[in-house]
Amino acid sequence: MRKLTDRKTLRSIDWWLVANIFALVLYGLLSIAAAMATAATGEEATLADKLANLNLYYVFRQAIWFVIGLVAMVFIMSIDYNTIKDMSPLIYWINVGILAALFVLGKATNNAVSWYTFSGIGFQPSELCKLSMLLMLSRVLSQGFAEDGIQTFRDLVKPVGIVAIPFVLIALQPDMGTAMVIACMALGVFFVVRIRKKIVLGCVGGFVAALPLIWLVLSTTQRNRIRVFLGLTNDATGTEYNVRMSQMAIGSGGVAGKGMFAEGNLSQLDWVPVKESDFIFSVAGETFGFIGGLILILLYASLLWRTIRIAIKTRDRFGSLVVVGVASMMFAHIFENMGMAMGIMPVTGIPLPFVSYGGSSMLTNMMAYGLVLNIGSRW
Amino acid sequence: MEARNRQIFRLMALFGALLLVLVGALFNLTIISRDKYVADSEDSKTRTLTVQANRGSILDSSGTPLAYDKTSYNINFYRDPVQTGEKWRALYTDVILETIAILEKNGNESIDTFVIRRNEAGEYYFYWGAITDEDAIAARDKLWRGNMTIDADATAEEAYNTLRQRYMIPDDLPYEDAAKVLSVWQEVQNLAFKSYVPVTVASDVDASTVAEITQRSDELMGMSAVQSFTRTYPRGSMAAHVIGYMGKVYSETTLQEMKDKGYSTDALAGISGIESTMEDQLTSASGERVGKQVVEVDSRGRIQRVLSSTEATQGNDVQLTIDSDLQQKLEDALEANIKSINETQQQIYNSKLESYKKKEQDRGGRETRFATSGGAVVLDVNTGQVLALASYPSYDLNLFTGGISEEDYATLNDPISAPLFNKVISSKAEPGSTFKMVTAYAGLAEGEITPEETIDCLTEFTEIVQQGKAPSCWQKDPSKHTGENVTKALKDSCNYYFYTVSNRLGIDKINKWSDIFGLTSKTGIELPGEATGYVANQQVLYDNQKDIDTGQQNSKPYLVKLLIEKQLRSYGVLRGVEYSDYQVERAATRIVQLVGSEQELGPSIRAIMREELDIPESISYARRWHQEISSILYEITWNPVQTILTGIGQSVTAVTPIALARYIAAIANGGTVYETSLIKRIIAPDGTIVQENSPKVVSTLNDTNGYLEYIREGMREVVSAEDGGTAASMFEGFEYVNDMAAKTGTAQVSKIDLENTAWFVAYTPFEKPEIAVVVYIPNGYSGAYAAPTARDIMQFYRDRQKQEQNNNVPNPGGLVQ
Repeated sequence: MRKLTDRKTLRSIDWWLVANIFALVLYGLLSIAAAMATAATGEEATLADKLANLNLYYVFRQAIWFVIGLVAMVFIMSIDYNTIKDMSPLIYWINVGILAALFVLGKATNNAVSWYTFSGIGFQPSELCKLSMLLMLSRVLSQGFAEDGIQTFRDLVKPVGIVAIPFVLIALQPDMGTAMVIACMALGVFFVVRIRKKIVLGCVGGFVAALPLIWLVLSTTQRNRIRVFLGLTNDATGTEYNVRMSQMAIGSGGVAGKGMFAEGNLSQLDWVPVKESDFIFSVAGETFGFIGGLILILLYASLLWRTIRIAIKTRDRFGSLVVVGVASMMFAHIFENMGMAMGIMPVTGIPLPFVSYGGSSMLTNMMAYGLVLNIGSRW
Repeated sequence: MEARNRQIFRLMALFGALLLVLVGALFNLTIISRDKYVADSEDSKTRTLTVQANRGSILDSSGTPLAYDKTSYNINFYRDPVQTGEKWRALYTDVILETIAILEKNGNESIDTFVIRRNEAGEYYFYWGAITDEDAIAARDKLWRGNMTIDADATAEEAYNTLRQRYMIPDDLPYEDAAKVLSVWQEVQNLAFKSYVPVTVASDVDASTVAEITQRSDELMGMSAVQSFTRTYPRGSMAAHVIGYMGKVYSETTLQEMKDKGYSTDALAGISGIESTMEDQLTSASGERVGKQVVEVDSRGRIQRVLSSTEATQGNDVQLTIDSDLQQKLEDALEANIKSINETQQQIYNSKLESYKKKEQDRGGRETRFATSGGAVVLDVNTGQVLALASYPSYDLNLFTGGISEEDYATLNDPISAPLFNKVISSKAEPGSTFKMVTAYAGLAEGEITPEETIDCLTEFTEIVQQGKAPSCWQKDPSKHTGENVTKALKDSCNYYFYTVSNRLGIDKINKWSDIFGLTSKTGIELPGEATGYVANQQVLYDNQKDIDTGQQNSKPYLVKLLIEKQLRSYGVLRGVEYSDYQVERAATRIVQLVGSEQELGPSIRAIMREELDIPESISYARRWHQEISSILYEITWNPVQTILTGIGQSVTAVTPIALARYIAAIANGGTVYETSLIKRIIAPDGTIVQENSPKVVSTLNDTNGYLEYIREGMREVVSAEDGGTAASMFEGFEYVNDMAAKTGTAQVSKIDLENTAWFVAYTPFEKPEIAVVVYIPNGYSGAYAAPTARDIMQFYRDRQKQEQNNNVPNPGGLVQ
């Protein structure tokens, strides 16, 4: 395979995609700055005062994570992705092993056994699982089948199993959000694979039949979240309140938002919880308004389009499946996070890619796009 | 490949469509529903703080304050809602302890409302105040546990220990001190949802406390001294029943009204007296008067900035008609009068001990009651203004400021002396002979008697009662009561004369004139709790339209019903049948209800006995049972005897002292019945007069024939020594005895004469009357005994008048007018 530094490779890199990512990260930095700034008080505050009120601690940390991510991305781009393909079973099983060991070793935070702490920095194995599962699944689906794709239920067993193992382990943490992302990724990949209609129908039917079983498996918190989302119960845990505050924040942003230095910003006054990560979109809505929100959506749309474009252009089946999977992963995050901030999706802890504050998410996404750019420049 | 690519495109299309959904949701929030969210967001982060100016003062007729807001200082504690961790709690507890130490060193006390108490045995228990309703207690308990984060099943002791630990209270601190600290924390928690409002640790503290706390404010984190008001009553217990006091409101309806007027939920309001009836004028706490500060808070309740503020408005001042010097004199005179009657009664009682003891035994051992309380009032006869109103015993209004203690409140609720009960406007009693002027005027005005007609008192009035005991005059020697005309009859208080006049008038006319004199309606005095008096008639004695047990003005109908039930049961025994309680009660009720109806008693009673108890009418007729029953009914059946008893102020008549006072005023002023009033005017803080009261006429006698002259003369002779009036001895040597008029009244309440109700009414001067006085002393033995109060007050009033005139004498060199 051509090396990264080869001029042809360099020219084939989708620089628009890279620029898109940079744009998203920048948008994220601005939003985090707006979120974490101390609320401006007094009518006489000068620009200097307001600038001084910006708490740039979080912005710096996010930027550092971005740089680390860049390094990882470049690293992945320079490896022959066939090598990656060969290593995927290993990567996959190690990841599963770490996940399983979480129950024994991990430090619990926020009711979910999902983080390891490594010298003060939290590390989420489930994040990595998304990629390792994707790689394994893509490998299996691209290698094991002929042109006709999946013909029988038996054909499904291995691919579904590959998805199911991490899905179950993550769901048990319990982290339904990430588990659902994994499911979405898998669905996206399966969507573009040839499957006999009979199989598809059978699966759909089976899924519907399994819904009651799924309900039983859910924990109380998760069940309540769904109940609250469907409007069936009054919120006891305050999640409904969070969403309401988020909607209020976004709604009050109006067309152009309140601006970064406005007084009385709900998010700045801490009325929106987890404003820097889960509910960062609320901050963006309040600060930048409809136009700002639209710009973000357009940035994501553009990102998805350029990603899908690569999937189409790639001749290698493995490659295109991986890229489709990444696109699905992105989409799942985007739709769930923005949806919950606006009250049209149930609340989970899914972050907004490249924008939400958080190292794990940034790193994973950068690595995923390392893969995408890799595949995209080597077709 | 193509197929796969097609699928990929479809996937992208799906993504695109869902992204549009997101755009739609965003649009909905930010464009379509924007205004709603902007409004909601404003509401969720703004709070309103209220601040009050001082409440209006209550002034006496010369403008001297009787109640006012004194500027005072409170010590407030503000716990930053962000500082909740363990180290903060320990720090704040130390601050609180230190503050309490400063308070106590300077002789002040912190407010202790901690609900966990400890008895002498060392056991801990919850105390929720003087509420007895179980549901209310359960609700408070639940609320408290919620606020304090205490388990539902924790005992008082467990809760206490948990709280001690949580707030890092030093182990060696005894309960008494720990409770004070925990009281502050408790109030902080109670206000947790309004954490921008500080908690009051101590109110009305000394200047030295203020100085020390302000000086050490850096180390006493969260503590500050703030200006406030303390309601002060400089005259203590004087005119307490008129002025009233303030407190927390507990009645649901009143709370709702206050809420509608914009009061905050823990605002104080007037509870009794003028403080209560003039609440709207006096208050500085209503929505339109209170000052508001709208602040922006963050999600933890920390104040970020002030958005707007409006100033507070002071309450209006209420100037009363009360003359303070006269008031004080009246209270002193009444108290002295009651005490001296009490002493006299003890002497009489002890001198005839055996006979009184026997009477007590006869009535089941109930002890004789001596005079211990009473009421007196002075009215301006030409306007109806109340110049003085005394109810004894009284109480110090300042006890209520800052919340009354339990012990004090228990004393005030003593059922015998009932200090909180305003005896002048809320007590009702038979007026006795003070009623006779009504009968006299009615007789004259209706033409049943002329001023000159004389009647000889024959002691026993046998005209209507041929057999049995006839009503009689108190004077057993007829020779003393010969040739009674209206004037003389009043001087002598001759019952026989008034029996005659009443008999001629009939009860309807007596009621008519009682109404005109205002005895059966409220006088309009601006105080809560005025009772409405009534003058006897069939409805008052027994109203067959109302429930026998609960709807009557007196208990006779109920007792009659019980007697009839007993009688019916005895019939059952005679017939060998046992009636059920229900049957007997039904029959008795129906029988009682015959009274006042048009039906003939005999046949109706027989019919009822047949219908309800299956007693054949032939039997009840033969055995005369219907007659036995109807004679029991006689007690509650109106008859001429009751009419004539009403004419002398007995029967079931009951009037209030204030109503009596304004009827005397009407006699004095020539026949105008006014509303009584305590309020002269209402003054705004800037001095403008908001309202000026003027006298309100209720009715006039229209005495074109001058009948009142005769009545007034009769009342003058009551105190005249030459004429030998009934109260002459009490006014021997009285300077103004020739310039006044009066009437005694003694009403029997039991077989023990010492327990008679004593009334004394009077007015002065005689020619151009100015003031009317009524003295009412339950268990006062005899009306004349209540005269000293009136005498003292009239002496004071006239002396003072003379002195003022002397002071106004023009200098000899001045022009003669």
